Amino acid sequence: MRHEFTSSSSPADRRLNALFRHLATASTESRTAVAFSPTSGFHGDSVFSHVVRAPEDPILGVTVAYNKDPSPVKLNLGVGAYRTEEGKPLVLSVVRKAEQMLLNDRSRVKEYLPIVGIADFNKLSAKLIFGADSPAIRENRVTTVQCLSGTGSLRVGAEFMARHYHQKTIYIPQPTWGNHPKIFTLAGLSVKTYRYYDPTTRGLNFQGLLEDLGSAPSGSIVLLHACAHNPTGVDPTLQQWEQIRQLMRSKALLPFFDSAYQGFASGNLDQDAQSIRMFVADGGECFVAQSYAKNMGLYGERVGALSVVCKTADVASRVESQLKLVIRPMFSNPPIHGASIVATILKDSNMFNEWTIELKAMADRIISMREQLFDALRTRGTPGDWSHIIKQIGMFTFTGLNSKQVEFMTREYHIYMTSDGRISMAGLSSKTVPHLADAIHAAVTRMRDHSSHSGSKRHRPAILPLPREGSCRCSVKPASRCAFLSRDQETQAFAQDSWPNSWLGTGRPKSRPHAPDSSLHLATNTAQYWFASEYKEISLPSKYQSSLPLTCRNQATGLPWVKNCFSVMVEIKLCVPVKWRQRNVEFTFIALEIWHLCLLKICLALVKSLGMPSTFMLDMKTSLVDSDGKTVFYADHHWQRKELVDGQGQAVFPKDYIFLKLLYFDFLLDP
Amino acid sequence: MAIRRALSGPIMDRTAVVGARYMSSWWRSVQPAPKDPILGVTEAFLADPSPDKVNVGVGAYRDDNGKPVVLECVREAERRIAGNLNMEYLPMGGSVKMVEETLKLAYGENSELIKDRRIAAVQALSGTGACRLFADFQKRFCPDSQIYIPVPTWANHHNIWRDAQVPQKTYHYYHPESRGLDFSAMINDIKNAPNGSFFLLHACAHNPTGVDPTEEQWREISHHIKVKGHFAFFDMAYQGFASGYPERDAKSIRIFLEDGHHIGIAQSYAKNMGLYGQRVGCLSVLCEDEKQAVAVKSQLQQLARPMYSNPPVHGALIVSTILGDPNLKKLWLNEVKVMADRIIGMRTALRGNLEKLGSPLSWQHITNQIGMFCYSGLTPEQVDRLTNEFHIYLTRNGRISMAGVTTGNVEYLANAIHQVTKSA
Repeated sequence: MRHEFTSSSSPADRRLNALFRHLATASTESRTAVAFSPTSGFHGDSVFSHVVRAPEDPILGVTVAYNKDPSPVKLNLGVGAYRTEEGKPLVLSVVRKAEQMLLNDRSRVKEYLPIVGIADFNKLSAKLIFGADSPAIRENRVTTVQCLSGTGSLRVGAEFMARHYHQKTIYIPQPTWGNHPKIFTLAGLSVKTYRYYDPTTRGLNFQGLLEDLGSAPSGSIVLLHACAHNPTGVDPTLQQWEQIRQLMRSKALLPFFDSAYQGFASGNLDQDAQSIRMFVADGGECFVAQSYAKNMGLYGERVGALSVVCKTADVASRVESQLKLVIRPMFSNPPIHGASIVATILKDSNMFNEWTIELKAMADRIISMREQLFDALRTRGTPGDWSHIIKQIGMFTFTGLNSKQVEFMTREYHIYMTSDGRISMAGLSSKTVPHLADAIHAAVTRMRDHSSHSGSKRHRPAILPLPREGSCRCSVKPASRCAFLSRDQETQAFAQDSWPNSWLGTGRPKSRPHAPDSSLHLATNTAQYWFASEYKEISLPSKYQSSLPLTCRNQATGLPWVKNCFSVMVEIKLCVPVKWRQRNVEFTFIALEIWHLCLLKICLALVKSLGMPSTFMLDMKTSLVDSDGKTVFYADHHWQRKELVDGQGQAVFPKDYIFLKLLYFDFLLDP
Repeated sequence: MAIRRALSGPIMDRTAVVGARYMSSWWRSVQPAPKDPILGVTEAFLADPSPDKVNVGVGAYRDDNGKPVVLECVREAERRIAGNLNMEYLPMGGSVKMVEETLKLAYGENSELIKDRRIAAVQALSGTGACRLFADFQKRFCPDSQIYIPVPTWANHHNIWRDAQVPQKTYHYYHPESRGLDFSAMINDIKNAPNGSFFLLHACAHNPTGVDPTEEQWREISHHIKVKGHFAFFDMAYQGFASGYPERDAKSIRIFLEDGHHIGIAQSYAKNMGLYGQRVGCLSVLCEDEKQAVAVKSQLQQLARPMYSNPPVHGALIVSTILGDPNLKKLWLNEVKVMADRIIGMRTALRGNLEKLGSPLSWQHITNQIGMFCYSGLTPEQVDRLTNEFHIYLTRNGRISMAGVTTGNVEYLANAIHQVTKSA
């Protein structure tokens, strides 16, 4: 039997190719030598042969699963776009009108915009967010550049800071929109978190927020959601904003506002901008990223703006000139269509009024969905306090349902949402509220709250469904469970995001609620790194396969499942000499490749001695520490392997947390 | 280099900033960035009150009256789109239909590579966005590689690969004496580059010189690049705009495909569809098999996600509407041809006028070069004289945008060029 991966040459392939040569009969002996290192230079045809598939966006996965579900009552509460009462996407009628006007105007051309975009659009956007009579605008202290919606504005601002600001650390709330950490790390800033959400009250952890910002180094950048915090829907009150402002100004922390929902949260444009205006009114500086995706429904048109409020007009103009240098090599100039629509609407007072009315209607519909859902749960007598549903604001509700309960609701009620329990209120309608309330009620009463933060107690291997009946599989993949352990082997922190195939919780284990943030970051970075790197599945040669039929199916996924399987998990620590830390990291990787081969051979021998089971699975994971317990490499924000250096920079691994979970493999047999 | 120094220079004087606390501006020390030279030309042109003034500096098409053009096929596509389609987010990789049609243009209508799904492709923010995405990708997956860039090239190429932190090397391209291609030097540079280097090639209508290799020269280039195991990355900003035929302009790419290269292509609809401001383009990377293409595409999306999340929908809808409808596509092909023919006609007229005036110099290169630009060979001093004495505006490297030349001003322009060059 020919295996299908002989032609390609990613490291995993090469490793497995080598394995086959070890295991297979002598017929394949004449093959050429194997290159172990992915960077060993020019080999094969494509220079990108070693590129591996990146993990899918978890939100995207929700939509894919939803689309596959044939149930007539299925409900998608995962998407972040507004839907009408009928569940349809909406283009505002004022937007249609503006588009028609642009279409009928034959004098309009589509030539390049200036690097900073449409001047009118920029001026009007600044007025919208800072207020028409803002002194900062009057004094020309604000520079505004058109960007690609919220993401693009954040990225351009972050790139500018990474080049021109003395403090390279940005504090983002915990939790926050999943794209935030990626944007800032890729721009070259180092990301830390501050406490924001309190799971017990499902509200703001104000004390924790003040403590964390209070202990941030002077000058640090702080990302603030201007309103309708994503994903929690929890906003500070005006008094709390004032306290945050005082604290930040006294510590010279630089605010970077993300305003993705102006007018969409409360239905009032001015009210949703109050937090920002407070910071501008004191004469200090700040960054603001604006998006028209939600409040004007221009999602796909990518319209947004970055504003920098400076101390003087002179500084503002110099900042703008540097922002151009960031934009020019990124996309030259921004897209014209969406910004023309926005400028048309903002310029004309009648159209502007029409817009505010339509905007309010969208916000009101969402607020009424909150009330209906809250009432429905109360009439059902669902255990727990659900007042956070009406207290939270904006597109999303952070329900507090855990991943088990979410899974239950998807399985039994065909309701789709992200596993953190975030539901998009915009996806609800009066007709679907009862169905959702039934589902939540059932989930809460039938699925007892198994905390997702219980750590090693639930530390059991995830069993992947096998591709087909009677098949075997060998997978070599990175750690799905990224956890940091202290010297006494107690888990300090897990990755911040949950990863597919991971049974570990996220965040900190309950027993160690005060583990330092640094360990959390390392766990997260490592998880991201590993999941972006190789993951390979192959079919083993037929001599390891059996014709015994297996008929079990996994209820949740509908995929064939391993029958009566049991698992043996072996964890092996591989220690390398301290001096290896001085060497090329690649070298240690080659050593690991050899380790892999040896272990696979041992495993297969074991399988053989047990008498050829019909199904088996090998699951190996790799990481590396050296003999004094220091991590030999870690992933930096460019996802490159780097050596750790003691006593310098942020790369130092804290002394108390010494083990990165090491090489081990799950060994599953079907007797 | 000056820009680079300005960026990394004395900006982060930490003690000064900390000492000043927040009472003074955080950005006091930010230096004004240098202005884009092309922009300066337009500003000076606008400020000139002379009725004779001519702007041959801009890089956008003008009709024979010097007016910007929106193609009829684009107007029709917009009529069909408005009011009918929603504006929801595109997938991270952009419009699937737009990308599909775009690949057909570059790789061929019936390309086996497309059928075998061997191409990883995503919608990008026109040519710049596509180049930047590729440069970031190159940095992430071939972190030790460099990019070889022709001398001269579009100024933004340098910025793009610099910001992606990919070291740059140059290769010989333009030969100032012949105002043509320095072919032997180019081949030498290809031979001398370390195996497996990255080469940036202009697929057609080289910007700013308008000098393209011949078909035979492309074959030789392809051969040497193959022998050395280099990676060829094509920037194709002018497909169809150069010769009037998109197929003909893709010849260089087809030669590389025949030779079995794994190439990358940045495509743009700015010029050939006149969608300058809509920012529509496509980045594609040819892979060994479908599996690898899936992997590469997923990684390209990972780079796009923290840059702009997903690309703008409007321009993509225009392109897919036009290319997806045989009638509109035919209309587009006609309109592209009209644009290209006008430019080719102006080249002939400019050269003819110069020869009629009895210019002793050779102006053959005006018609030999192709695309939007003519690298005239005028010196900076001659350009200054054109501007000061004749109100003719262009960049000081002597690059004439042929799109700015019309039947109304070609004689005036020819005469002015003759005046400033006859004594040389």
